[in-house]
Amino acid sequence: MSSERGRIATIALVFAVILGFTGAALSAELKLGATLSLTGGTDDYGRAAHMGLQLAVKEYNAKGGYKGQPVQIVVYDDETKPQKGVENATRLITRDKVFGIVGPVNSGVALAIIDIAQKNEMPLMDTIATAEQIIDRYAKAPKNYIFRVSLNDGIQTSFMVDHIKQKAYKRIGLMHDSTGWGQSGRDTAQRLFKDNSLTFVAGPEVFDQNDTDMTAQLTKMKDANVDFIISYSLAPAGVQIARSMQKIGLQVPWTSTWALIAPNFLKLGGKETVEGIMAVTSYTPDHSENAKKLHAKVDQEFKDQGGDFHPVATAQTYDGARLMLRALDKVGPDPQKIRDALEEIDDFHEAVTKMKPKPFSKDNHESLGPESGFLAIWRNGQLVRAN
Amino acid sequence: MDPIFVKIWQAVISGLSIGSIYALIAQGYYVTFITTATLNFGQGEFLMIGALVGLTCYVSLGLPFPMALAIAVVVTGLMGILLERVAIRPVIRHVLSHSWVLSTVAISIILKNAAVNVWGPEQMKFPSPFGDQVLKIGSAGIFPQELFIIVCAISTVLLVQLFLKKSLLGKALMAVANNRNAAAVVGIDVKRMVILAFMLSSALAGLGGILISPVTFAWAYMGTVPGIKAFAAAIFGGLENPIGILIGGLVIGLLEQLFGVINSNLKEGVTFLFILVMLAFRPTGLMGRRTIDKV
Repeated sequence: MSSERGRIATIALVFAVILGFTGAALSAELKLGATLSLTGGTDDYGRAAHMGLQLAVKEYNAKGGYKGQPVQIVVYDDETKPQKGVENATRLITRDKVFGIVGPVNSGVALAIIDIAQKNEMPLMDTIATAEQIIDRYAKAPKNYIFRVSLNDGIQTSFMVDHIKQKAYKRIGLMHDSTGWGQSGRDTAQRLFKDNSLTFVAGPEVFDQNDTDMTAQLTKMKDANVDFIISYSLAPAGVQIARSMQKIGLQVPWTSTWALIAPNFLKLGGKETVEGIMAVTSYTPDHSENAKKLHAKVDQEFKDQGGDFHPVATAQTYDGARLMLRALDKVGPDPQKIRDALEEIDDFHEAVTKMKPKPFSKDNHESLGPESGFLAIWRNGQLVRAN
Repeated sequence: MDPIFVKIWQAVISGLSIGSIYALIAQGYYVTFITTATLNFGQGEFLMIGALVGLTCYVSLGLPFPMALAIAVVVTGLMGILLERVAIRPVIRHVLSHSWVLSTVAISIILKNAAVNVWGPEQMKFPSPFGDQVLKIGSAGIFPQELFIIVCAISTVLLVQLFLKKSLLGKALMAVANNRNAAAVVGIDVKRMVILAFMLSSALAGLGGILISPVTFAWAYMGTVPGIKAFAAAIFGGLENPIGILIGGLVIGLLEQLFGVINSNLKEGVTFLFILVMLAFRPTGLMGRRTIDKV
């Protein structure tokens, strides 16, 4: 018995030594971490973001990396679950010793992990998630470690308000799904409506994100004679809303956020069903030379993973990752210095999204603003500008 | 027409369509419960497998819809046989054993994980063979597929009843349900009847899957909620009464949609509250037999 225990102790010791050595060896490497939704509800965005990240780092390394040393990417799947995201972020910081984190994709996950990044003084580049809180929560802290290359919910909703004013719609209905994202969308819409002296004539009507029949909610919209509907719905619910509208013969223009630019929306609904539905986008792949180049590359490089299937998510992450690497170039792999450097970058002319050469400052951690996006509409299976 | 009537009529049509699926799956609970006093808590996952196998046959392989439907039903039926062999027979050797609860839940989790690996985690479009042109029944709109669901599900439930009451095989199965030992004495192969019950139960779920996926999309997580609601339908109607179960399924579908007309926030909560209240007054379900246990 005792000899067996001794043996186990010896084995454990050997393992500990090996682990210790490899741990030490690994931490000397340059690592950029990421936690992304590679599976789960928002995996469309996650897989496209992953492509942008890989491409940015690959190009950086091809140019010699940081003083001749290549940067490695450590990517963990958070399965679109906040708890898993927390585990990933902790692991990236304490075990992998990354110099920065890209991600996550889902706002619920993001709101769970920004506390960890902030507490550990680890710069976090959110390139997808849109909740306003993600940047606002630490905006008043002496140093905010959270940055974003994505259109937040407030800006997205402001495009809808602009559109409503421009078209002089008078009878607006509000709908949202029952998730945290849907509820925060509802609050944002109600706040912006108040600021613009607009009112809703119907709603807020709520639905479950997997509901298949929305006729009950939409009949109320119809009874209120709405001429426009704002609905915070992800792609599957978006298709069900469109189909339920067909059932009750309700034909009014309606919009969600950029959730409905997801390629899955077109796939699930088909060209006829999504026709005329609106969504917010930061981007069309042909808006600049930089963008065109990126998307040709993505299409070729990731042919086996569906090519350039979600251009916006890929492009935003590509820019976000390159900003991290630019900061690395300036100050080296020290997370705190990288945070400071991100605020100082003023020569980022190669952006593919619509951002200024100085995307961040001490008081502004949102690189994309009202001038960076617009309301788009599905026409014949393509997204085009709505106005 | 009165607007409130229009709303209610639309809710009735929508509710009947979803409710008939609950009724169809719930018949599966009935068949295995009467023969073995066990339930397959993975009914929802068999529904999902039926949908995804159907999707592969119909969309990926381009087979005609009736053939895809037949393959989905056969595959889930065969899986039912397997289920009985690995998750039921080994654990019900003792009358008081309730391990089948765990073993069927375990199978359902395994199936869900396997499906994610084979078909991925995303929702997929299952195009309806009847097209997407909205039909009108009075003022209410309905997709042809939803009408097909109602007709197909209710007639299947009635056919199963006809099979159990009129055919020799069905009568043998009912004999096992009534009295296992007596059935064995007159020469009925009880083991085979139990296998038949599980095959039938799973095939019904598989059929439900291929029927609803043009309405709900097909994906690995599609089965859980219908599985639970069908269970509620079975309990609501009375586990041992097939007509009660049929009514139970339709009532749950209807209640959901009708409560949705009043307040969409409450629709599921109020539906289940209603069931709880009803069960407090009729613990054996709407049409369940009251039995008196002498102690």
